[in-house]
Amino acid sequence: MAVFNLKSREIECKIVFYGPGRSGKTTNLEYIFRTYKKQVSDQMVTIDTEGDRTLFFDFLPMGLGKIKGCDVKVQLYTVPGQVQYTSTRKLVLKGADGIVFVADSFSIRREKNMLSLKDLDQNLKECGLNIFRIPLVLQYNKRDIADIPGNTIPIMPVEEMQNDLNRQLKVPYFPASALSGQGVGATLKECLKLTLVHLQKEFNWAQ
Amino acid sequence: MGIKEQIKSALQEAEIYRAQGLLNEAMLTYKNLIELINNNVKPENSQQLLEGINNKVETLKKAISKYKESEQIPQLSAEIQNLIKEKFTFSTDKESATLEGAIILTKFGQFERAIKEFNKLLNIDSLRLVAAKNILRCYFASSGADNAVSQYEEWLKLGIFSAAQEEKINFFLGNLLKEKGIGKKIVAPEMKKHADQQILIDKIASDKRKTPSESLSHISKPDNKREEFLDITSVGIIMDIGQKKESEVVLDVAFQSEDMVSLIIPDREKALIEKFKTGLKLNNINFYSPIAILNGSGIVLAFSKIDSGPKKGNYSLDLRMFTN
Repeated sequence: MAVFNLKSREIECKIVFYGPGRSGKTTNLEYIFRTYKKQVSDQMVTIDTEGDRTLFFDFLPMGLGKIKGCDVKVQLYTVPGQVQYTSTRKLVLKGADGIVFVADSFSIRREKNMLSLKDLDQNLKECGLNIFRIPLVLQYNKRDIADIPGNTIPIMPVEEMQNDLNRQLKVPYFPASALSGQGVGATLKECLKLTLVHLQKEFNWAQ
Repeated sequence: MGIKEQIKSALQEAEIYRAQGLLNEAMLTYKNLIELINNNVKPENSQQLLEGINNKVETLKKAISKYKESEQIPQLSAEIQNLIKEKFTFSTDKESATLEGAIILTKFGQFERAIKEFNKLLNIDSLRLVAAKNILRCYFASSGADNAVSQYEEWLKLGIFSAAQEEKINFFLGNLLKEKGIGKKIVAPEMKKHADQQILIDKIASDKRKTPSESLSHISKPDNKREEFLDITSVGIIMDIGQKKESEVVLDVAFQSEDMVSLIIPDREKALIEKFKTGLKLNNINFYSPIAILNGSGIVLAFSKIDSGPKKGNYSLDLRMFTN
């Protein structure tokens, strides 16, 4: 849940990167950490396990500076994607103001994407939130694989992913490659925009 | 696509999955590939290729088992533990936030640090009992039942809890052991010295805000002897509750330890739930055992909502039984 300090005119919000295991959530945060150095206000915290799988969460605090007379701070989190960490995902999701859902473009991960989105819906409900109301952006990651000459890995067309994941939600979506950074900034900016607009209705923070 | 291209393509696919950390997908691709080769390539031409693929499968198996072994939760640095406390505690009230901070550490598997935090909370009257219960839970989850029992016995020696609290902790620990299927016997708390009890009785009597029934929960039976009870299967409570005036509500016994029973109250029993509170004396109760029905009274020792497990949302009621 965002915190708005009226006296110091400071707003702090929480964005959570959600998605199936190995879809590239941590890679998104690593790219943001490397690229937006001016905005990053502290070290990125990663708690991972063997094979670089996120065990609890990644955490990256950012300061966006003054927007409409208000100091905007953002905390970015990732959840562990592996199915068995559902209780940790719920803990991390608590108090989220915006969500980036990172889906894997590999055809072989199609079902995992859909199960993870369903899991997000369920966990949001348990946190008293609604997937249709919370600021949400979809990212179709690993699109760069399709560009590798001679690639034979089956990649889902964006239209198919839209049909699987965004048919009902109808939220903004971005093809991306977290490894190269393509689409990462655009995804984050859109999610921040939606979140801050949403919070304006709640706090009327912008002058 | 010819068979050579199919093999080449599958090998490339499996290698990318492995590099992406999609180990199960890589394994599946290799297994499909082995089947493809066995069905389409003459054995004399495929032996070397299959050996190479089998080596890759073995390497993958090791990686998968290494990953599974590493799923044990590590003890994190104090800095990260502080971050967890700070970022996942939402209570605004200081005492609740301290308790929530300690509980959140247990949720992230940081039991050693959580035990330290809960130990600090033993100094706060209102949180002492909940802190003690959580310490026992932490020992159960980390170092095992023996350490939990040792801690409990140490508390009994130190005498830092009131008689009623000791009873509750004893009951709680007994429940934990039973839940885990551990048949270990635990020492029952000895009754406090008569003088201590008199001080307690005087203190409660002087507190005019409390009703006599509320204060009863803090006082042990005067003769310091516990009644011997049959195995009770269900408890019928007769009380005035709205439309159920003077009607009997029968609740199943989840657990019994001598003269104390733990009952589960379904959340649909709204009127009943509103009525119960710790210390409430119930004057008309039927205790149902397989061989007899006893009539008596009881005192509510603890009453709380169940936050986790299959009975989540229902209520747990600990009752001390007295027969007429």
